[in-house]
Amino acid sequence: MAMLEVRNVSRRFGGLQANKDVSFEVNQSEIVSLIGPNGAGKTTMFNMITGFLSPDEGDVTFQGKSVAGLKPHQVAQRGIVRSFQITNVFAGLTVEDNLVAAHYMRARGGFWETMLNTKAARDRDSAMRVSVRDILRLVGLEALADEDAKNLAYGKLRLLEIAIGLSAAPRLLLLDEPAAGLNSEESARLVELLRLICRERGTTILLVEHDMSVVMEVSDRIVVLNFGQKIAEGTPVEIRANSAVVEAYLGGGLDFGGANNA
Amino acid sequence: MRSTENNILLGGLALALVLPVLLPDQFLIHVMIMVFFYGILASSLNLTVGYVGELPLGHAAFLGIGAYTSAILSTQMQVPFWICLPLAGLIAAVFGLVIGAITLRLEGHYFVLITLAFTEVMRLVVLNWVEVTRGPLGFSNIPAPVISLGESIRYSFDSKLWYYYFGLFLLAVTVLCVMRFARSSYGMAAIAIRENRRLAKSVGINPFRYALGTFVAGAFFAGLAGSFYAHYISFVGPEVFGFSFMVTMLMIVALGGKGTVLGPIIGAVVIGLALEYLRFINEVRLSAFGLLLIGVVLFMPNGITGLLFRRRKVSLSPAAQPKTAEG
Repeated sequence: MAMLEVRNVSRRFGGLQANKDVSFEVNQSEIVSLIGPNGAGKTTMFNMITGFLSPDEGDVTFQGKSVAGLKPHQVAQRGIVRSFQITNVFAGLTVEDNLVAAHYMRARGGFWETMLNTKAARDRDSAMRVSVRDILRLVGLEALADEDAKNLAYGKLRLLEIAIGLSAAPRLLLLDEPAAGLNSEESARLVELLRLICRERGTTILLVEHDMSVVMEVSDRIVVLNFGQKIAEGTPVEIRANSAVVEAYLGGGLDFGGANNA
Repeated sequence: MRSTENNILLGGLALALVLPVLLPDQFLIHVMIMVFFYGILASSLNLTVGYVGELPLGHAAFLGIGAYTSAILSTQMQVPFWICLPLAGLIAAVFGLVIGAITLRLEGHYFVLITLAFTEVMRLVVLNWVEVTRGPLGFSNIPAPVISLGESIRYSFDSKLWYYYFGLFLLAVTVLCVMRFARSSYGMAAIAIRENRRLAKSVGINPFRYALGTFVAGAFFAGLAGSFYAHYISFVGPEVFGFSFMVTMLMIVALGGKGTVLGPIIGAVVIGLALEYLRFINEVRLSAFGLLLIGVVLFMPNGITGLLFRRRKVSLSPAAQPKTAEG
């Protein structure tokens, strides 16, 4: 059974059909990319998987249980954590505290335990600090741990978003355009990082991405949307050769080789 | 910063413990009792303002509910202080739960206005429900705490010095609780909501639950402060629901520094002393406070603690650092 199953999902905004009868699956320990031209319904799909929107029709199941119609924090508690298309961090906190805040689900003790500051509460706190440091080391932000998030350069902010996501202990991590605005060197590092996250932490990743070099390099499978409908699904090699995909992107300037800004 | 903050708090506590011995001045002791009262009140307001990032302009309602709970129970039913005090906190917390459950689904302006309206409703109820609240007369001769062991041993805690140390104790307990809260995962969850509500949701934090929990805790401590005030002043009237307490505690939190444990305490000392020692310029006192509040908001949004700690381990301020702190 697949980890995430999206079954015949549709969503309409007034006259606009954002998603129509879309089905796909994401298996444990896979990296899957969701691609398509602007307006294809990728972010809407993300919002429906994570509880920010509910589907008009169809169902989303995660580990065999439906998550459609749950609230965002409930979906996150089931193990699906997302980042946002527009950079989203806790700007006023330090890099480390951004992770501490996101760590809360794992580090939460009982109320009285917390108020009385028992040994269990202190142990939990120090275990959390260790875990936070591990994640910072993994994404390469260790040296900036005490810096205020609002002072980070753009590329580092995008890494911080991923680190925040990891802190929330996801089984499935959804990343919305993690490579947007990164230079080619940073993109290459991102590919490495995503593979590392998948391999070392066993975290399954679903990403929306426009940078085709990143998509082609990192994905095990690719799902292609166009005008709200799924037009193709397959490995990077299959997608490259798919005529429907090439057609959908014609005029969009799709370049499977390098970075594209379409 | 944590250790600095701890040191300042411990130093302040030590100084407060010996102050009545060093300066045995009755007026100063009275002023300090009010400082402790304001400290508890401002710390309770700071939970919602500083950590959740919402402005409950009706926070004075919980002060009033606590004060009236104590006043009615102790004068009408001869309930002893030791039971009135926790009950005042609990009843204020129950009101907090009901009001919070309704209003915390709203954000920003709506929340501000509805909580303000709630205080006004409470004030009108107290003013007009004469059978229970004695209307504009209020309650006087609210008794001091008493310990009686049988008929022979009966001790009444009615000295200023006793209120001084008991007020200090209550403030210390409040500060300890706020500190534990602020540095726990609960506090971090509340801060996460303040910083970025959407992102907080996406990492599994239920904003409503944490905002409500924090708001109810604030109501509880405000209720305690109200009860302490009622027994110390020994008079409670509808003006406890008035806007002046609200302005004063807001001023204290803003000046001291919102979202820090220390801020409301520093603010309470500064404003508390100023309120009492500037009585001779009574006419311009409130106008001066108004100007001061505008100045604080414009030029030092993080208050006095913002100036003290420019780089912070746990960054507790949502706003940019003030430029004045550079010099």
